[in-house]
Amino acid sequence: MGGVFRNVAITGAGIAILYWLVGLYDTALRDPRFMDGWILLAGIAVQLAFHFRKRRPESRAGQVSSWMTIHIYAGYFVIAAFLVHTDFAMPDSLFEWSLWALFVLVALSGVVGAYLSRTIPGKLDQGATRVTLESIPAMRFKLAGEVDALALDSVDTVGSQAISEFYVDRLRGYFRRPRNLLAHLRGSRRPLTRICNEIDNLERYVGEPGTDTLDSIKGLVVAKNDLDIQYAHQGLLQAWLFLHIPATYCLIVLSVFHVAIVYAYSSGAP
Amino acid sequence: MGFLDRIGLGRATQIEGPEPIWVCGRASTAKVCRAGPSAGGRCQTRFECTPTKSGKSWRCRRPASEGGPCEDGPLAGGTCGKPLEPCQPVKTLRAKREAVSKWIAALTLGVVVLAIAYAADTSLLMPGPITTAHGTLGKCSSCHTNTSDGQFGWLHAVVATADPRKDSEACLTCHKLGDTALTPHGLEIARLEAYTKRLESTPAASELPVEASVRDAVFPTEQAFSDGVFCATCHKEHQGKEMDLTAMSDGRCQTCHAVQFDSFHTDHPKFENYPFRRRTRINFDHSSHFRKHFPEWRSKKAKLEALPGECADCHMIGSQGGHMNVKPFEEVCSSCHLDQIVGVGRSTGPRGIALLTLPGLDVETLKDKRVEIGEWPEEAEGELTPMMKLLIGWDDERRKLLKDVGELDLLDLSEATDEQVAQVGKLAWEVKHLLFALSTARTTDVLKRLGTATGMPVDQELIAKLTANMPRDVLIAAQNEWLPKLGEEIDLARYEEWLKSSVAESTSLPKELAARAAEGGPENPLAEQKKTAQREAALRQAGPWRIDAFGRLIKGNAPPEPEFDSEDETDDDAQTSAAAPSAGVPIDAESWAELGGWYRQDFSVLYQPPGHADPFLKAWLDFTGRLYSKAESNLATPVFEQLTSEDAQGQCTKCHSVDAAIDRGRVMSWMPSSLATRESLFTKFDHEPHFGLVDEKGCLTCHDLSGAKGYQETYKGHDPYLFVSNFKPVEKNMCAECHGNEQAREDCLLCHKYHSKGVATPITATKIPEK
Repeated sequence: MGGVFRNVAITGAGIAILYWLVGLYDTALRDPRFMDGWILLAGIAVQLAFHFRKRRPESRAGQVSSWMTIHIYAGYFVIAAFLVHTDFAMPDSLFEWSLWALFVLVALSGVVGAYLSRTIPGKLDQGATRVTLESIPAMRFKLAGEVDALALDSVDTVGSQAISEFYVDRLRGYFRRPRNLLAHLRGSRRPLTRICNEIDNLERYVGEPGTDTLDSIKGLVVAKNDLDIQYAHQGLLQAWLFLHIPATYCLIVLSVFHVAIVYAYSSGAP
Repeated sequence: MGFLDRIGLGRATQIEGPEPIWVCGRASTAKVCRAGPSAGGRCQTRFECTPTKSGKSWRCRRPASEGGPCEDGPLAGGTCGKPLEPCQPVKTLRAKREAVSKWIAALTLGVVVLAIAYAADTSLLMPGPITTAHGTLGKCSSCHTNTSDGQFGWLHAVVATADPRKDSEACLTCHKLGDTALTPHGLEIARLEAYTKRLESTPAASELPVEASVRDAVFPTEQAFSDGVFCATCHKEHQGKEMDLTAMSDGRCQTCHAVQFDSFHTDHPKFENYPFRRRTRINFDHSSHFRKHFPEWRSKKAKLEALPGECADCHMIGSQGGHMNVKPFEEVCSSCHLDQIVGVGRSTGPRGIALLTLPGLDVETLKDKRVEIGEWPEEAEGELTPMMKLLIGWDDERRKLLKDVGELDLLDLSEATDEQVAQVGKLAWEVKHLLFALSTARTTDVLKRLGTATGMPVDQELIAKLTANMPRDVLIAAQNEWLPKLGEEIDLARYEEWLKSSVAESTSLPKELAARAAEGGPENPLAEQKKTAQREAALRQAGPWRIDAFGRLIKGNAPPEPEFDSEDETDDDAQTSAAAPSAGVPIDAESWAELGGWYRQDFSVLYQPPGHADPFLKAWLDFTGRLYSKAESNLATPVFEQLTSEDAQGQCTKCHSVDAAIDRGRVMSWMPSSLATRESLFTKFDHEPHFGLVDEKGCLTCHDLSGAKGYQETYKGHDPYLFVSNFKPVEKNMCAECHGNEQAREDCLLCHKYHSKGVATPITATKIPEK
């Protein structure tokens, strides 16, 4: 915790120093937008360094987790720099609106992403064993095969088609693909409870052998539910990046244009 | 988990390793390829196992999870006998994300380029609207001189070096700030340095703020603005239509200053003699007028309607609301002071100023010493006027002549040497030549000698003022009365001069004498000299010769010899007489001229100022004042001193102060101070908003009429900056009572202005249409 407060203090101090320096620069008859603009760009460059570090696992330039921390703290600093650069005002032209909108999108998605990346792993760790997103389809396939086999065997073992019909009606689709993603993101157990209740309700129609089958099926349903929870959360962890990263690319493109235009129309005065 | 953790600022978490770009195409089935795709996205799995050699045979290495070693085992060459169908690897989410990002970036680039290319103009690139005043400037290049027209006219400017001076010159096309527009405050560097030196020695009301010290250390301004303070330094456009381009923070105002502080009411330096920088141009002693003169007139019950009762009776607010102007002389001063100007009740000397005076000479001594000066009235007793001396001394020779005779008593030359007496004779002829020239030649030609004498430009307008359009009749009448034979004497003198020069240089007879030369001109110089002497004797015997109003020589009685081919016409009608008016009119010339103008008295031609603001006096004072110096040879100085003496006609310097100007002699202060003459370049004060705030003390609230004594004494000198004011200076505390403490404004720009010489937008140069 002490480290956290230290980092927050450093970032806060950096923001305060930035604001103070910009004020000094302005009263020294310079145009502060040049100074805070370059500071903003430098902050964004620091943030981009995390992206490149992640793609170079062999690099010895510090741990990725440390870079992630720098990325997040730098992000808050960059937000402050942006507010100073824009003088806390809304944009006035189409191009400026585009820049502003992109930055806000990147910043907001970044803050949301930081929140997700901190909260979701904890949630996932509370459940079953963590699995990678890429392995989930295979595991789902395997579960579907198992429950399919159980349903087929139940015709002989139970002597009725109750379980197999239930499987066809309710479970086959359930096991084919991810289900109840929004509910899982909300942390709701209602879908699982509902389907388990349906399984429990079947017990009166099957004998003791059928009860064992139903118990096995229920176990697989719970496993599938856990898999879906993993999929929903890990999918979200990936999905927000589909907003954050492309927006960042666009922001960089527009930023290059912005710098070129600013210097083209600069009078050359300090 | 705390809030900081939730927003990402918590402890670092373990990050999963980098994801591969490709994954097995059968990942969603149970038959995932063990080897996985290559980096290039190709499936690397071909067989169920990779056999190993054990001795001479090959062994199957299929894992137990896939059924264990196969029964058939590997083929002879070590190849697995169970081939697998390769999968079609698919990209991971990360790879797909990267691809999407690049495509979107490319799309963005394309959209931006197309938007710029097909936009109506480059307003798409503007960071914001410009102010309304500049709203009609259609092209960016009007102000951004580094760019050119066209959608991509700005591209080259990205790498080209911008010249801030050029952009500023664009501003100065409309906003005229003079030649020093880009120096701080628009002032000359030398002047700025002088101000800085003075202010650096001014004790500040407080220490330099810490922020100012840090700023000066980190972002020094001196070098950054050594090339000039450009317009864009302070005036930032593109911040909205209603943006005030002249708004400026106090910090920015002070950043270059030697004295810096945080707030006006606490830390601004004390005012030094504000608002007085110099003595008033018009010598008006408020104290003596209020306490002595006005009460005196009131007690006499005279001029009651003219005596002011309030400050506003004499002062009025100027057109721009800031400066309190003085009402015209005719409105507030003339009822008491006009008589002094025109000389009513003058106790010493004539009321008029003598321009020309025939000086008194010791004629007897001159005659005894055979110095020929022609006729000269023995009754003349006056002295050469300083103005005459200035007109006579137009070259070094004549100035030396004046200097030589200046020490003599011209009315008593008995003690003078022969040489000195000869000099007096020369002076007499110079006087005669001057009088002759003034009456026969064009005034402009004669007065131009002033330009020759002084090196100053003398044009027609100035000459008209210097002569107050003197009528020719005045001169002719004076000449006829004082020196009736002047014309012929001058002709004779010129003829003798020609004779000398013709003998020496064989020059031809001057044209003006050709008509009077005998028999076509002299052939025998000696014989001609004899004739000349005879002629002279004859002329003396001839009656009075007169010069008529048209400059023709008119003889009274015909001379014995017709050497001078006098004109036959005896135009008696053209004869003028300088005789005094007929008896029965007892008024003297000066009294007759009480309304002003030229008149003749004794042996002087005088000018009486008709009233205030007389152009004759003003022209002579301005002209000679510029030439004023202590040099002995300076003939303009006595004129100036005569006109500025205590008993001078017109009494100009009773009220109009005389300032010593650097390298410019003396300068008359004709007008009271106004907004145009204010020397305070940096401060502005608007009286009008304050009128409603003062109590019954009114103007005296701020202008305390208890200044130090000695107001009048300072006008004896000529340094306007050595002065004593009738009023106490306004103190800062007076202003700080309201300006500060979150009451009235106290920002710098309320009272100070940056562009000290003002900003002007001149009228457009519109050619007169010819069709």
